[in-house]
Amino acid sequence: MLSDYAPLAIYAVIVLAVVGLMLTLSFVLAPVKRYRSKLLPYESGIVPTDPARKRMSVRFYLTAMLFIIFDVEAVFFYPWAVILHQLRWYGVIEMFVFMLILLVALAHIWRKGGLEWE
Amino acid sequence: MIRLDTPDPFGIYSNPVGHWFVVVIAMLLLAFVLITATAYVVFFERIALGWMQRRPGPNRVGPGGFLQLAADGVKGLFKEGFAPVGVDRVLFVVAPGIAVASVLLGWAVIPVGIWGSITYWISDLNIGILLVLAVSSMNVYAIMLGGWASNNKYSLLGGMRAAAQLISYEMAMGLSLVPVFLIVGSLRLQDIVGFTVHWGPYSGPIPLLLLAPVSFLIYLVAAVAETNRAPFDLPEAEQELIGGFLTEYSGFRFFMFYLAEYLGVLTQSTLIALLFFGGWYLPLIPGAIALFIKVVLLVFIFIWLRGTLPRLRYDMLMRLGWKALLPLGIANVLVTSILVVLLS
Amino acid sequence: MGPATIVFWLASAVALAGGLGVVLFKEPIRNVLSLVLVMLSLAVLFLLLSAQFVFAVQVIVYAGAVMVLFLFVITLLGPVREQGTVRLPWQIFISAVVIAAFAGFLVAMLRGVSYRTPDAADPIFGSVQSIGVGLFTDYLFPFELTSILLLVAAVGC
Repeated sequence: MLSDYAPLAIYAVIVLAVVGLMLTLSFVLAPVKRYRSKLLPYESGIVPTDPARKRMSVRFYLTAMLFIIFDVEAVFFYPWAVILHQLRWYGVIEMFVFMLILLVALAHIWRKGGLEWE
Repeated sequence: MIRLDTPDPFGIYSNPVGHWFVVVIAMLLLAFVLITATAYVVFFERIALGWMQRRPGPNRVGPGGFLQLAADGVKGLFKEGFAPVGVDRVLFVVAPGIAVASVLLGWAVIPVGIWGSITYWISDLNIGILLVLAVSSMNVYAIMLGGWASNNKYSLLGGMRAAAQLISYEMAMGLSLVPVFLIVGSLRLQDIVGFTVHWGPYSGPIPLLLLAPVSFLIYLVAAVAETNRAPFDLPEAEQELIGGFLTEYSGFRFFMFYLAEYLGVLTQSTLIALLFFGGWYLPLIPGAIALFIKVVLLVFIFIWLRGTLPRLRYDMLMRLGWKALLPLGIANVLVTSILVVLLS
Repeated sequence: MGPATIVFWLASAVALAGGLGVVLFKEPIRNVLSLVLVMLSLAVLFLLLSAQFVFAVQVIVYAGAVMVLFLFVITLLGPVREQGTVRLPWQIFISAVVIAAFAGFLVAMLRGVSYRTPDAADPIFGSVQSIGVGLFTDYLFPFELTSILLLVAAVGC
């Protein structure tokens, strides 16, 4: 029902206002004293040498990819879990087929070493 | 929807404008109470850690050090929050805001006010706890943007590590809730707390911990990892990464990340109390106090873990998430689904 | 104008602004964040159609997972900025023609379409339960095919 979401919308506006107030207060109340060495990025006390934004490992990309796959899987679980009382064995078998295929995927990634972080 | 079944002598609540006025005041009050309670979670942690490490902890400001956090909060507001050169200013400022908002928003579906037989909550949604999962998944952006915007090597590496950790354990968390939904047949927290069993002579509410113990274990581990708490505090590992994504943050923006972390502890403790410990049900004790006791005990578990366990190495963390919790979570779903159909 | 209409216009405006941001910003990270904004406002639009579960899934999967992948891709690239100096000859002319053609196509397609007010949605429409019933009875085959799709994605990465 759409009307259930009206309080959520108001609450969202209030939360954003509270957060906005916090961020504004941090600008208004705090003193500002700037000088060059204070504004250098921290690098254990030495002057930073090369740019900070370096290329990251491809592992992170792989993790995000796997996360999407299993997140989609989890999302399919929710409606199934809620109505399993009605579906009974039919529902269990449906999900077993679905999971079996995904477990093949997990086994494949596992064997190829996609889960290693050494 | 917030329900007020109390007497309404001035006719405020029956008038439509007055109704929304009351609702807005109640929401502001909730935000205020949450932020204050978070301060006391920090205080509780410092006292408890002091006690575990045989030192007094904060004991100077106010009676028993009780006003330490108020003092720290005021001090934080007046500290300079500067941004170093090369920082992406917009993202640098927005990131702590996302962190706080993503935790606060989840409270929309958590039943908060319990008085006698009445429970109040902001929105009674069919998607229930999915809303908490959805808004807390936005926390990844806070940490990643904080790390990226800072123009610092430690920040970026910490932010990336944190993001990969958060998504890995978010998946475990999502899977661990499925057995609960299987047993209860609803995603609403009120239905989960109010789940009743009829076992011979006993008929009444039951803590789901007894019915889904594996889910509780996975959820607890995932909750600790999601809030970036020790032993999963690699994103801000001081000894290795200076402070991770927090390295360049100072002043009140640092406080906001800190607030978000402890607000997360409070949120997860409340959720665990509602999901697995029967929420406001406890024999002989009124609902509000029962829930409060359970939340305090669970917050203590978070602190206890921090005081006891050493930090994991990054490859161990990922191995635990992907090679242990993911298969365990899937097996847990399968076994529970068979049991639910067999026993119902 | 009811509150739902106001929210509709707001969410649409944010979605369009986000779309513009995806095209116009020069730093890749801002492009991705604009896309996140688009995804979130799309979630609100789904909600206005009473699709509650799709709203949650849109936030969890698109804004919370797919966009994180995009962010990781950007960090994979390192500190690159879009180089915007090289232009095709006649670029403005060609793009104007393409835009005009597309606008004409839209007008031709939408002309004569009459809109009706949507029926009042069934109270359980879009709820987790009704999605479940649809997905696991009538649309079972597409659901099982999804697992093959996910398997392909897993093998590919």
